[in-house]
Amino acid sequence: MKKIKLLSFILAVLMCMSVLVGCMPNGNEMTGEKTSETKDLKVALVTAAAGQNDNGYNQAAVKGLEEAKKEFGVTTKIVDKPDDIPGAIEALAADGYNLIFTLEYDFDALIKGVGGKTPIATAYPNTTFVVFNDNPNVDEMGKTMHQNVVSVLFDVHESSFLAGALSVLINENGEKLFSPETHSLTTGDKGRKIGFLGGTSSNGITVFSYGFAEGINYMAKELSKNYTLYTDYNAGFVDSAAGATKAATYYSDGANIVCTVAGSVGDGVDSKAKELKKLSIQVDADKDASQSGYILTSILKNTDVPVKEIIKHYKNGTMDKVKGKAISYSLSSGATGITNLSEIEKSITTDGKETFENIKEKLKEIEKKISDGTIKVTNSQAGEKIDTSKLTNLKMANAQ
Amino acid sequence: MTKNFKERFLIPAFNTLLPVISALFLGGIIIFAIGDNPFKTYGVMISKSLFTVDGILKTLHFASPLILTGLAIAITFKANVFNMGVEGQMLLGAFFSGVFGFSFDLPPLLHISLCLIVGVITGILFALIPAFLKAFFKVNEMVVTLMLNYAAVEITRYLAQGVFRNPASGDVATYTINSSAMFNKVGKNITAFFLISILVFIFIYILMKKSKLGYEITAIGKNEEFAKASGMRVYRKIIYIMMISGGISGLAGAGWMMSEKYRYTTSFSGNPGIGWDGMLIALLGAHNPVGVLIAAIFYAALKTGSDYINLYTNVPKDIVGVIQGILILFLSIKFINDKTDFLGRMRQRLKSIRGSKGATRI
Repeated sequence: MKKIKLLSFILAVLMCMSVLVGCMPNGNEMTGEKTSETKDLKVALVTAAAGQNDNGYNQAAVKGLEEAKKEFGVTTKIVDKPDDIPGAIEALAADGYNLIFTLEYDFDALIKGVGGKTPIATAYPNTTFVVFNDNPNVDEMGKTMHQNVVSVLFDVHESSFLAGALSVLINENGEKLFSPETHSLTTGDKGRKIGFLGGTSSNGITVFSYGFAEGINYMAKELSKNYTLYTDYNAGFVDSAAGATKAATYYSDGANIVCTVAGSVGDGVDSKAKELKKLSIQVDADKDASQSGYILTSILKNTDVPVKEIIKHYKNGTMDKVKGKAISYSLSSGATGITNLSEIEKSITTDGKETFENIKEKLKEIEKKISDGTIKVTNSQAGEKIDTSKLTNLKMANAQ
Repeated sequence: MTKNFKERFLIPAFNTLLPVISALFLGGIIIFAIGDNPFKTYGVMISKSLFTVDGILKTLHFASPLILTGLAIAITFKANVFNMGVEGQMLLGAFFSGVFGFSFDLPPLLHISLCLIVGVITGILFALIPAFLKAFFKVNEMVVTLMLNYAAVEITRYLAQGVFRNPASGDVATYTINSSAMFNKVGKNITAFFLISILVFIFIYILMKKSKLGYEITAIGKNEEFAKASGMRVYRKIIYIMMISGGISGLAGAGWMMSEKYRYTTSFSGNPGIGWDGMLIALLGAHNPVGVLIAAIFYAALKTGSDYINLYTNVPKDIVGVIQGILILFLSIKFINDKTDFLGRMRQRLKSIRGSKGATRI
């Protein structure tokens, strides 16, 4: 009896499934038609957990891929936030993709190999894998492990430095720049506070906050003012309501500008800024227009630039320039930076236009100094630690 | 015999399959509405995840922790005790097995056993909190276990950011466990962890169907007062049940750590987590061990299938999330109906209305 029960249960399930399978007109043929269309270059992109419509990091990469498709005529495939990232990468490599971009922070199976398996990069030597935001492709001695892996790094610490300097410049000239009807900024010493919300306490976040802090300090020193930076690294990446509440406490404490590096939490902070007539700073993509006038700027991480550039290298046969290397995209590459401030400019009063132009000039000057090495910004992503004793004009309210 | 067969097997099987088929059907309509062929999509999903060697092994690999979390929930639901804290117990089990995994260097067999035991013990200890509160202070275990999940998430996150943080990693992550603590992959994906899951399944099957404790669990679930009146030490049994449930949850986390994730990150459990998936699986399997086993494999096939949809069709993988959502909706209808029999009452109501109409007509 028991046996019959078990057996028939399984049979019923199988039956149900075979009905579905029977219905499908040759699943394999369909996948076949995709691969049969062999062009010389097949490019795949595996997005991170936020997905291809995240309005930022992932979406920009997808955009870059689509532009490359038009420009270079390559075959593309986007795999959106798979549960099994290594599995997806391996399936793509097995399927003959030559170039695979993976945006998620998940490299162990690719580089080192896990559970006794050979690393995917070794198993598919003719495929080039591109990873982002870290350089896992070095062993303990600092030697490159795989020649077919490219690591892409963004020098966001430099752009954050710019954002920090901009914050001080705006804060000091708040009364001149904005009309009291649209913005209610705290003035004087009480307003010399800036907030920073981070999703989590990792190098990927502190790379922003350290640069930001140094930028504030640099400008504050030049104007001989003293600033306080409030930091919170526990904002998470999803709870925008909680982020808005945290930002509100900073604003009510006198801060005029809050920078958020915490995924969609930033959207909550932006709307809070609008509600309280303050300013916020966004990251990753250009989101200035989403709350026009209240988002001061966005610290950009334009993933489309490296995606396009690497595909171009492949197309032109110049992959040797990047293969096995960690490429840093600096301010001058256009892959990182801050926005051109045209959105916030719409809210600047006519009296303030001249001051605003001066601020933009000042920023260009700083940008130049960063590019030529006069200003050195701490790069937390490269393992550097911030030297707080050098921050003479900035008080870090919290330890980090 | 035939009537018995029908009542004992056919009707429950139909009740279980109906929500699945309806969810797939509605999902198919949505796929059709976005301009794709539902048969092709389901075809890719099912053929790739169940009817290729790599696919089925991957599915079984993904099913391994789900079988365990499903069983952990099923055993408590059967006794009408609601351990909603499987996710938290699983996370803590995973975390501490991971800590032992990277802190020691032992021969593989010893190391793996040690880590598994650590996972089980952590799960048991964490489950004992709500169990004691329930047994001695009659605190509602559903609320306590549910809230403790968040405590577990925060504890592990705090530890992963602080003491056990791997400073070389750009993400919040602990160190990778030593290779002596990793289950070796057989072929592309499957590991011995699947065998362990099956062994636990057999153990729970025997426990629930053949042992005295299993009988007591059913009795407590059917009527706690009666069980008490007939001389069972109900609260002691509840503590046992919670310990078993917590232990299995911890094992699920430890195994998943050592066979797939290898280090703890804040996205260890995925979204929705392995523990929450287990709840759906327990409902789908009607709290029956065999049902849970089949449901877990089916659910894992959906999960791996969603990746294949992603790879081989133009349908967004979110469609599987939609199917899962509809499935949960249907299952909760079934669950509520099991508890309150509102369909039966509705039928009776209709009958009486029809009856009275008939009467007036005459």
